[in-house]
Amino acid sequence: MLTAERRQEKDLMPSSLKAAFKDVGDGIRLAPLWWRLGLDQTTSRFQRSILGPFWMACNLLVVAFALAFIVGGLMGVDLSKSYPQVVAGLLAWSLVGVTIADAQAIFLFNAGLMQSQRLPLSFYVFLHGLKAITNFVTQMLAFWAMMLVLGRFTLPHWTLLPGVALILLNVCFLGFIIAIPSTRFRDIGYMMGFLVQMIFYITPVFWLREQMSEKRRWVADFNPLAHQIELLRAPLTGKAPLLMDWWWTLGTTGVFALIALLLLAKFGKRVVFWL
Amino acid sequence: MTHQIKLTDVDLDYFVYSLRSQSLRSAMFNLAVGGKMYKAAGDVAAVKALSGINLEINEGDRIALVGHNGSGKTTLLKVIAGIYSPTRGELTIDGDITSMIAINAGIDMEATGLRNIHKLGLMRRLSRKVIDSRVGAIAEFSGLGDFLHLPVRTYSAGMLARLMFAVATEFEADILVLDEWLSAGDAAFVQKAAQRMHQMVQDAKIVVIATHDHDLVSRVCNRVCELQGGHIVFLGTTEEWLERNQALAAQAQAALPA
Repeated sequence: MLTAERRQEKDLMPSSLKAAFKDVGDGIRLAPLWWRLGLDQTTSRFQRSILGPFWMACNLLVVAFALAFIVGGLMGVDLSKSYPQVVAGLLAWSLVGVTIADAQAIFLFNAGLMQSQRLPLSFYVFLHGLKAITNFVTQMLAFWAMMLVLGRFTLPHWTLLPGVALILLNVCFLGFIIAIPSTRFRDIGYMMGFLVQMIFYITPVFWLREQMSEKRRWVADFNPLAHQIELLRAPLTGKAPLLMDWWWTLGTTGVFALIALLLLAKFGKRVVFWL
Repeated sequence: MTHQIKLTDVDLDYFVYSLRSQSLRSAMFNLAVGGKMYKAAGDVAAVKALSGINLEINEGDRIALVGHNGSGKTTLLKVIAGIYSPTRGELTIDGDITSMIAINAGIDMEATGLRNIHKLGLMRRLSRKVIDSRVGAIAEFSGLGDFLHLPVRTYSAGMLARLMFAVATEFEADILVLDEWLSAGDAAFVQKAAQRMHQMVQDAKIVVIATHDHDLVSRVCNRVCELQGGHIVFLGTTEEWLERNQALAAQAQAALPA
């Protein structure tokens, strides 16, 4: 069955690629819909809680405190110095890494809707991107509030804006790349859980590249996520990110875009049958 | 603009993935044994749900899709609604489609009735203004009154059905795609609902309805498309279809030993 499927898709390649572009275009045109739906989902998710989305922010601040305390102790860094570093890293991770973990359920979560109404696949991916950015922004507000309280507030560098935009683009492409196969193979969903956790430790989120011994520094140098984290963390702490971080992130975004488009072209029509 | 739906040589292969084949393990296993075991185990069944469908539905048509369970009615409905893309063949649609295949998809149980009205309106791609102007009418028709300010999870099944029906039928549709006739609620409401449903069907440019109800077909539809095993076995006017049914029934009668 797989070979038959493949042969068929090959003949259709140009038109299916066109269909993939159309899917993304349609999704962009539906921006007003996912925009309002996304905000609606965020508010209704926290309807019965008092602090609402700021629970996420509390989570960030508390976990950062624990990590800064431990890592600061291990590395002999003062807590007041390591804390802003770690919070900023975790904040960046909430956009870069957490969205990877959530991406597997993009289509599964919307199965009911997908089986009863025609909407482009990109619609659901953009909805996921919107949720990611709203989470990020609320946590960023909490981050700044905390820094003000601690008297360590630094004005973010202007590169934060293009940085966030680029990462968001990345989040969307990765959304396709993870969501499409994990709708077909449900095991990927479980795998993502521990995979993301492992990536979290080997990526300089709560530690810095410079703190790593030189022999093992490659885990940060050749890790695309490390550069993405740095692209956000540096401006959050008032510095410009390195040029290298820009190049790495631009490169991975390009590669992800290509893979996402190919997946969409090849399997876009099938996804609804996999639900 | 004239409204039209046109299907040319449409095939749809429906792949059914059993639980086992949805796991990565069996895919890798499959790789190792070269795909044979996989197929022998019958894990993925390719069902030819539709084959060689040629159908042209024009403005003013009220077409019924009839056939036994599993004949492909709902699948064809979903192809027309754009949920499934044809495996082969071509589908062109002029006009905006409103599908009521599962009217309670997208409902948020935690949100209030009013909020859900808004959300479902949004999903129909209506502007906030249009929705706002109709909320009153929906509230009145549903008869839910102050309950609309409560979360939907507190509703009884009947109340929920009333709300969904009221929302689904409030906004007019160009091309209406229905899986069975919609109805809801207690006896008094059913009466009201039937009237409203008729109104909606009357106002639509094209109606496609999958149904088992022969009375409904003769009451509402001017054309009938009968499916059997994914093929169209009959396509014509309702009168022709009724005649055919009578003829078939007579034949069956005659075949019986006296």
